[in-house]
Amino acid sequence: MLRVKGLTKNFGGLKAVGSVDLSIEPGQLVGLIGPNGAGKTTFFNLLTGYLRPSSGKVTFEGKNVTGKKPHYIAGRGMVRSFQQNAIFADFTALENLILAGHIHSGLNCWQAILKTKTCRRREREIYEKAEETLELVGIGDLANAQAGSLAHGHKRMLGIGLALMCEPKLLLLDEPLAGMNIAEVDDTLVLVRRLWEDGLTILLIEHNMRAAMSVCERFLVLNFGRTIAEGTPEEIRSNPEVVKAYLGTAADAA
Amino acid sequence: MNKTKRSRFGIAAVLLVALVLFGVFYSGDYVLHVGVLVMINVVLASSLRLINLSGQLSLAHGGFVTLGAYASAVLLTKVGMSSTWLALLISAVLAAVIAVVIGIPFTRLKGIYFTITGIFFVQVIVLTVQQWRSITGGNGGLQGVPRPDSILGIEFASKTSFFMLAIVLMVVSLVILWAIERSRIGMTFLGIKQADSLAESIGINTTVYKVAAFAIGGFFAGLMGGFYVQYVSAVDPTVFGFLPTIYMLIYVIVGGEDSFLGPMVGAALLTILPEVARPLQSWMPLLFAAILMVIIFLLPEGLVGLPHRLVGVLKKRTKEQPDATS
Amino acid sequence: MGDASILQAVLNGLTSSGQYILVALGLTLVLSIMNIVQLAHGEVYMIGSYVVYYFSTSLGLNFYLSFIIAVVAAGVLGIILERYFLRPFRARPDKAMVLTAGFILVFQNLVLAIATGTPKTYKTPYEGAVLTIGGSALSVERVVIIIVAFVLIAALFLFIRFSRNGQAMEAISQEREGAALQGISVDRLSAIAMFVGCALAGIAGGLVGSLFSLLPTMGGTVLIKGITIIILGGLGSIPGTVIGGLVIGFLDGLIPLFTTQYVASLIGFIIVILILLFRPRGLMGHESP
Repeated sequence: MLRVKGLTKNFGGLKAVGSVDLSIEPGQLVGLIGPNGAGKTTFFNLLTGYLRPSSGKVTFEGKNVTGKKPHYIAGRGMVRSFQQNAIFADFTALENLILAGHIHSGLNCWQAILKTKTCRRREREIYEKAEETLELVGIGDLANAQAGSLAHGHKRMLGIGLALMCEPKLLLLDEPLAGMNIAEVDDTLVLVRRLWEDGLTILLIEHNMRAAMSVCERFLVLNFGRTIAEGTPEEIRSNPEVVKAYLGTAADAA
Repeated sequence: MNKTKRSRFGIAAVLLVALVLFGVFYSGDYVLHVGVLVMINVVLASSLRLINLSGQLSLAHGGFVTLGAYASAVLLTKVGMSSTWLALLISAVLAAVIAVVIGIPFTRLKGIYFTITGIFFVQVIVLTVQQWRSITGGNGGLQGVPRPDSILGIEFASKTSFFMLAIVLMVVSLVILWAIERSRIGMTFLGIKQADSLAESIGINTTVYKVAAFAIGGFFAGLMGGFYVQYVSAVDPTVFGFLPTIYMLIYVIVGGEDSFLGPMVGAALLTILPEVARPLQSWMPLLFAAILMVIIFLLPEGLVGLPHRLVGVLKKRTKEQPDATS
Repeated sequence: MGDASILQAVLNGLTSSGQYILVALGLTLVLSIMNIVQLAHGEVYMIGSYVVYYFSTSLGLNFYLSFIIAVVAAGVLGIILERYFLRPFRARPDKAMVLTAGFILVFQNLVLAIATGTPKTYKTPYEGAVLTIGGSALSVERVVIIIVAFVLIAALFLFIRFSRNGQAMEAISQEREGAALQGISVDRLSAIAMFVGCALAGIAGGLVGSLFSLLPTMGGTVLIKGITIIILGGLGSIPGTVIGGLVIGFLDGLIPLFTTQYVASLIGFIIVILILLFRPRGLMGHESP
């Protein structure tokens, strides 16, 4: 489904991402891990059109999406969530999802403005789907709360809900567990596993190793922008390079 | 949702009927003239606000009004077009087209940089109009622009006829602007305003929407420019230049930029004020600025927020009363 | 042509550059520290001219004294504006910019009311004096502008480089939040930025006012030139502003020899568009808009 070859990003003299390859088949749950500053979020930004690669190629479902704009890539089915500014703060939680639903509703402008019958029907469908999605991510009772006033964990869930409304084929989650408490982490992992079992392909950046290990079937490990390891959880756990990379940063911090 | 909606429509309908009846029965030219100006400014402010909805603070509006005005004037006097209505339409469309052309590069800019380019745009338009003497009459402008052609047997010669025409144009414009804002397009604008990057990630082509907002705003600006010129039969380069552009922004902010009603209130009030306070005419810019600052500091939600504030104050007072006596 | 005319052309270019750079530096300082374009900057320039006019012509005070008063007045005005009008909206630069648009109306209206719209002029004590170099006569007024401008540019550069406040300002312009966390007082530096920025505008107005006639509306074109320069040179970059100012100043000085002022303005606009489209950083800017 997703083929990344030689993806590279240079900032001046700094190589933030260096020649990374990645392949994801439909239905997989892949984890992207690595110490802080390894280039994981930069990689995401390159995949989803928020940064132009210096070189390399990204192919999604056979189509070349390298360097295309974010809305185009999202439209093709590769949808991401964000760590910061993940939601529309002034809208209610429900309105957040309704907006996302509108974009994928296939309505054109005239129908929207004139509020034709087709439009009104579709709007009802979107409304229902938005409510369902809110339930799915566990914040059904917060539907009419202003998104900006939600607790951090709920905001992140809403962010995932936003991505889900776009009917993604490949869901990219950027550190979904960051800043969450234990209960929220569990809820999120349950959600991720459930989405995966329902057939969604997922690529997950996560800093929380234990959590990532418990859901992902495969990993790509980055350090200093380069791939240092790839494989199953067992392979990664016992890979000396990986251990060194994580211990190395811990030691430096000490 | 339906009760407030119905009462809102009810009030709007009543006001509209009142406005029409006023135009039919009142015949004081001066008041009717001010009424026309109010309605023009209402549309200008409302269309400016639409652009703001998408998160872009535009100071280019006067440029589009000037474009529309001169397009009409030149088509009708120099080019000799026979239909004033066609000229009016062309003015609006031309303004929208130019808005798309400069919007495509401009809307890429964030916040204040977009605003700055608007300032440049207005200046270039004004300068061009001043320079291109052969076509635009330079600093003196153009005179002798014909009145609108008669339609359905109605001649446009009296102030009353223009008042009614203004009502029609204003209502049509506001209905369109309202419909857009109420639709998912308006919701998309608001989404873009709140979180540009996030909007992209859910598939919104923010450039297209931003340019669209700019173009729609430009369309109505151009339309009003064309109408104005057919109303006063003349135009000069600075009548919709930089300072008037700032005034349009002030109408929106003073009235309340977060409400559809806001620009209308602001435009009405600030158009009528200079007429009512004639002796203070030469102090108008200062007065406007003072009002602007009072609003920004004390009533940021604009004048439309005043009733709500007053109710809040009254509620606090009545709550305190029982305690005061004990 | 000949050497004399070339020298004249260079002089004119430098004069324009000097005055534009002074104005643009003020804009860029305020922009990089406070993240707003002070739209009434041209009006501060205008006020500088009018204060010099008022004190030197109406009150008959010595030109140099009037000039100092004008500069101080401009600077103090900047401090007042920052403290009472702009500081409360530090988190809302859009509202702050709208306020500065309001300032335009206030300043123009006040000056119009006090001084009327009739063009005013004033003279410097060295008006008409001429410096003869290599056979050509250079107006001392213009030479003074050039010298003052470039001395101030150098002084500002040293200030930013070597003084504690200056370095703090550089830090803020690069990374606003980080600098604030390091305990740098954004309040104090904003006040300094507005003081210096407005004073520079006042200096430019005071010096250049003697060359032209004064109108309350003279600030408009100055603002546009200033913005053109800071976009060209790179927002927040002082060397960029200087280079941008030189380019625009010379363009302005030379273009009218071949075509009209209008074309010069149009070229300025086209430059702005091209830069914003293709190199938003400008010539030497830190970051793109």
